[in-house]
Amino acid sequence: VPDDTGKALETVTQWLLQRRPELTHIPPDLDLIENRVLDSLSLMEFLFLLEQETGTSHDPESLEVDDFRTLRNIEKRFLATR
Amino acid sequence: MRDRIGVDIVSVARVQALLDLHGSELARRLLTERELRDSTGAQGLLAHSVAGRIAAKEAVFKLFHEGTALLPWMHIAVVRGPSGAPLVRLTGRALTLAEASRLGPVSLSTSHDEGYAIAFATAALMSGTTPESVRPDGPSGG
Repeated sequence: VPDDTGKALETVTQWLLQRRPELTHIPPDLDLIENRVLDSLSLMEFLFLLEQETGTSHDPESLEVDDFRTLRNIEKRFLATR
Repeated sequence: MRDRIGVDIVSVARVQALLDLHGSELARRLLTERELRDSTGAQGLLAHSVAGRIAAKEAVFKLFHEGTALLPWMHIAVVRGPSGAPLVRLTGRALTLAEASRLGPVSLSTSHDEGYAIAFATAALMSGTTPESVRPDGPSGG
């Protein structure tokens, strides 16, 4: 994992943990949707914050729920190409 | 003819926190210009009104039984009808999903108290549509 990607992934992880304080760790393959870590509203907040952080915008219509389903998917879809 | 229903509840405090944190920038990705105008009071965006529209869009989206796409926020518009009752306007991706589901006109009711906004949406499946519950590959078919 490149250093920049690792830092971004840690930032995302911390943001997710803030949303669910009862969690102390988020495994890479935890289903964030089924476990209610993310929902429709927080997906939009995530995209908003990602755009502010990276300057890269993403058209919601080009995305699927699975792009956000796990930390591994988020890394692959949004962070790995940075 | 069978109906589909969708319901959603949104915490007004959660929406207020988002408005406090992000101002109207995030709201502009969730609500149309008209919805933003209708949700604005003398002090700016009204959290209970924004929460009501968010709940409404989520409830309507649930009618589509769509498990892959993200909620097309800007293509589900909730406007106030002549009687004051909310009306749903579907465009773009939302209209495509509704047509693919063979949904009839959508009916919507919303309500909010101090802490929560709730929305309930219904639509009839147009004739010729086989409800998922009786399809061979539907929930009761396996």
